Amino acid sequence: MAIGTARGWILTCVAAAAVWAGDYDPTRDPLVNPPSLLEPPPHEADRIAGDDWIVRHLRAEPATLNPILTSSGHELTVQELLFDEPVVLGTGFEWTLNPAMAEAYSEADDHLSAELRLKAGLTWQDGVPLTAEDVVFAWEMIRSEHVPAVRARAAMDGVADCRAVNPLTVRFRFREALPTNRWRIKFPILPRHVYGRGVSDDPTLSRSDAHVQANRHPVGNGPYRLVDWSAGDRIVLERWAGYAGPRPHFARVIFRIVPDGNTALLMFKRGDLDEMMLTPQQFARDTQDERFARVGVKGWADQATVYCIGWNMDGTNPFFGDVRVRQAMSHALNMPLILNTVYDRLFSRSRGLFPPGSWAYNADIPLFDYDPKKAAALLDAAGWRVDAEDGWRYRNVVGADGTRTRVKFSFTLGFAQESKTSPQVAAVLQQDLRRLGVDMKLQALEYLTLRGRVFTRDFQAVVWAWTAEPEPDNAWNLLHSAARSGGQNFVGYADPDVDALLEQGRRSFDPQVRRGVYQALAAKVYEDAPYTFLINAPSLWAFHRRVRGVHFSPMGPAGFYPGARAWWAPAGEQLRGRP
Amino acid sequence: MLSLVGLVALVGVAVLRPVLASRLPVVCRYEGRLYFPGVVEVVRSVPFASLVAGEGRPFSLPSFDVETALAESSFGVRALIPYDPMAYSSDVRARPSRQHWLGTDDLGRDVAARLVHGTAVSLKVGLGAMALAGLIGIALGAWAGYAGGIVDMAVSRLIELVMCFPVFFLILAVMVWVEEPGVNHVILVIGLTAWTPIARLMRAEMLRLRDSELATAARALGAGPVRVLLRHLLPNAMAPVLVTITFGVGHAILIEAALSWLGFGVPPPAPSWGVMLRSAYDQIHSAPFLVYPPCVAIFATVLMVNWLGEAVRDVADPRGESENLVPG
Amino acid sequence: MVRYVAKRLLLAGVTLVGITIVTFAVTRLAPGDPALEAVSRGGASTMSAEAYARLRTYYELDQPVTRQYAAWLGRVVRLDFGRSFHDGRRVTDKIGERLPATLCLAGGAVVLSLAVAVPIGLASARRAGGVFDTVAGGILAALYSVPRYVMAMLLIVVVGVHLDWFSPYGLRSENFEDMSYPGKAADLARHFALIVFCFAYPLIAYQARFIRGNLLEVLGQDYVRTARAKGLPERVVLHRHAFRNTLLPLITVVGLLVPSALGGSVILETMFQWPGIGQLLFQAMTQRDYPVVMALTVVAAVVVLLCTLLADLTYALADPRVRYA
Repeated sequence: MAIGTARGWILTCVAAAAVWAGDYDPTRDPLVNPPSLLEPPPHEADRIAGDDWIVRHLRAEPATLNPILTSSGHELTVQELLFDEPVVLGTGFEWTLNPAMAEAYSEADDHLSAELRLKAGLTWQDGVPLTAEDVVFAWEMIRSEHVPAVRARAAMDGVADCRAVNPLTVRFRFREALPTNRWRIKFPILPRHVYGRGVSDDPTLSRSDAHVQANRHPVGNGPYRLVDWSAGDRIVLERWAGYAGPRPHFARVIFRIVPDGNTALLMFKRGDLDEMMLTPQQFARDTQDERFARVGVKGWADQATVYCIGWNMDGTNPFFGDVRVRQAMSHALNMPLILNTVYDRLFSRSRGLFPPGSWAYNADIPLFDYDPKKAAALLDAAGWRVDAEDGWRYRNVVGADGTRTRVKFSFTLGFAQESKTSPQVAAVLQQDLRRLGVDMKLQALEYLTLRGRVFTRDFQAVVWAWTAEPEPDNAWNLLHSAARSGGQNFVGYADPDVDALLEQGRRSFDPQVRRGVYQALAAKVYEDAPYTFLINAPSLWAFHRRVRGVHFSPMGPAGFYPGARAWWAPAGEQLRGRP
Repeated sequence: MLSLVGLVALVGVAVLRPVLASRLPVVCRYEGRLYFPGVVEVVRSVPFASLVAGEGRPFSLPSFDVETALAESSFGVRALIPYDPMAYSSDVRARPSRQHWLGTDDLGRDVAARLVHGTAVSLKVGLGAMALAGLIGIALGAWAGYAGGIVDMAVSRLIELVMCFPVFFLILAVMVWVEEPGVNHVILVIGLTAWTPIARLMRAEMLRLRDSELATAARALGAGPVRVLLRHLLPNAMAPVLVTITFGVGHAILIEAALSWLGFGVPPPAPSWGVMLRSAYDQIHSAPFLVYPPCVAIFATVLMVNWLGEAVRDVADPRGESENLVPG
Repeated sequence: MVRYVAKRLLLAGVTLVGITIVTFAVTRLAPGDPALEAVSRGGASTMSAEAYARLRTYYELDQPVTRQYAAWLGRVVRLDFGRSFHDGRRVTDKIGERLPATLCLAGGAVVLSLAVAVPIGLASARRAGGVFDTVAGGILAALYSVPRYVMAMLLIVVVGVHLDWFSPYGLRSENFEDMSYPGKAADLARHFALIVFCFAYPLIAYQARFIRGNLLEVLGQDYVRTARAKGLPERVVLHRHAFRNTLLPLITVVGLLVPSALGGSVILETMFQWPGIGQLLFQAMTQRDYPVVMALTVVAAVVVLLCTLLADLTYALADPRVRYA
């Protein structure tokens, strides 16, 4: 203990010195990415603590654990340990077969059909055999309009047909011959014997008593099984002995539901949590003390999350249809200050659609610099002139019926109330725009409301974020003009050149051609600024000192295969559970 | 009494906030003319006074940069705390110093300036909400107590109904579901729920006074029932009610702070004390000194209001018939 | 007496109906269409007209308001509050599993506050104007002005984290099941202490002042002077005669504290991770989970109504003057 404390003090002094010098530099922080955190498990099983429990942090309580109904990150965090899918994301963000479930995958030469062969002898956690029929059942359920499985449905849209050729083989037929077809079969599977009976009574899979019960205490096929869920408090998973794949090292995974980030950090420092995601401020400042150094280490790695501001240009407002206005907004954003103060020098500027880890990343795109004079000139050119009387900008707008009205440049920026960084970015932009004569009002909305507004395109400007998918073709859904209604093109962007690039990238099978196309796409979209891209958010995580085997993918330390299943603790450092 | 002085000082701070804490100078000479930007701001912040708005130009123009413009001017008296409460800077989380008396917050905004401007929000809510509650409570309570019968029964049921709902639930519900919450929503909601103790008290007083000698004498002089109520009974019944209203102001301030803390009160980046407290809590590890200014401000204000209420009670209601508002 | 009780119950019934109407109106008037919200919650931006119509039928939005109210009332009477919009579980279940935690909290706070307030009030009244009275009064007035969440903040950081005496989060520790019975009791107490204190300290101030004021009034009465003239020691006068008469108003006051307790639980339960109905209400509000919000509001209002009724009836039982007013 004395050594631990001394180490803690030394580390604190070093880290504190770094902070007092004014700069937090994660590369000089000894607690960040220590070699122990990333250490793979040894071959000798007795060096691993096989009975340890790990306590993980959940930001919100899952509404359901049914894999085709889950839609938010915290639901997926729990569900990925309960359910296995045949096709998964590998450590490098690539498409890969789950070795515990799938035997082989073969696509026909014309790319219009494919076969997936499952391993023999697989079962669900209640002992019932897992067959191709379960895959087909899941496909039918996702496709059904009554089931609110919109997320999964968008992914497998291109699959025309799915049937079980024999108990272990599923044959898919695709609508078109595209290089992205094998991504279309990446969807979760459901136990047919649990849900199949009640489908006629309750086609939504979420209303009858039986279905609600099944959604909360699911029968999965993954390495863990749910043993307890006390509402609002914790969810307890236990290792399932009958799992066919590699045995996870922690005997129990306990998820503590703690909505407040401060509370969670305090709990972590007390030793009540073993893992949690950190905000930039927590990473740079709140974890510099001795208490944290005694129990925790930090992980910092690139992630495929992009933050941006979306400008609605579907014509419901007279401001953002003009590219000059959008570019002016981009120039008015004081990114250097925001990077320093809001993001604590931990984040890097985004260069558009594709994050640095993606093969479609274009490193040559010139960034918008903070230039209020240029912004003013662009606004003037777009017709928004400063009124000498009151200092705000006005323009004469011709309505559909020909009437001219004088419109003030005043709009509302919406953002999520729960976010720790969006309000600050908004406040900075508000001040800068005010000096330019633009009146930006801020509206903090609760996340669900905000999401609802965005989905129904009821906004003028919004602070938004998404995690880039591994397949760049997903940009089609974001930017193609056909995706304006029904897809995720919330800002109403429509550019024929961009449409053409998207089509080309979607259809060519040559990787070199695709790369060039998507890089050109990224450059064009960045400059057109339907979204003002802010930053690429890295993974910022805190782990208990004893946790090892963490690997950071572009999705974070979990969300891929094997993800959280590969974490382990050394035998001598078991903290919880029964030895 | 000390608390009265303190409260008057607070009101003064709230009204004069553009003079106390602002980037605009109080008075200066710019391009040959004498301007009073701070004073104009004070006048403009009072409702219905936008007639004087033009007088502040060019200082009132959003694009006018005070720093560069005044560099050439020959004379200027800066405000006491020469910072705008909304202006961010890169001097983030600075400890209290001579430049920033109470330090700066996570966006480099001066805490003292935000504290001063937050006074206006808290006092507006406290006084406005209780004015509304007082109006409703006195009117309904007096009517019920004086008229009796069906009216009394109906109003008593209404009072009971409103009192059954945990006030904070109702207020939170409204604020959560209002799309664009603002100070006025908070005032309205608190006022519409805080009137019940006032009404009950007024009703009790009215019942007591209705058949008293005072009323009999007034009627004997030929006064009609309305006149008896308004001119004779009401003034005599006001005393305990005033005590309750005074305590209610502190209560309203606490509720507004709680709402802003939860994120459903005055929306950021407005400088409400509750908002400041919340953001200070979020940074309690890295900048603990940010917690104290709003804490002390809320505590001191509510304490002074409570003291004032006690003093008023000593004078107006020695029998102690009024009630404290129950802590919530 | 019976006539008074009957009349009071009848009036309470009227209020009860009023509660249901107000609750129903507030939630139906709230902005947002539950059917549309369900759509956006599922992640979609559009849906077919047929699916939307189905949702509207499911949420009974296609019926006139009065019929919706009648249907809802009919179910509420049978304690069927419908299903949560958020996760489809029965609302009754969701409330039922969290109600004990909040009741424990409220009960514990009332007990703690009475245990502290009564002696302080007694002592203050005994030597009114003395040193103890002034000092205690000052401290209590100061405490009364501190918002609950500020106190909670300070306690969590100082006591919970730095001093580590009490556990500031949740109901119990990880290895609760493995503890012995005394261990379990101690663990519960450790988790209970901070949040109950935060709940109780404004109540202490309020009740102590109330007792003091009431006692002073009582002590000035004739029968007390008689008791003193009889030569009884002051202590007996205070406890046996004067305090007894304060007891009844105190019960009334405690009954009135219930609504404020329910309201105050929202912030405290969120900060201390206490799984009670205050936390549930806050989450339900932010999730637009109308069935849960409606159910909780009705339950809370009914509880308050019962407490007020009980307080009034107890008062009437003891003080005959009230019955004939």
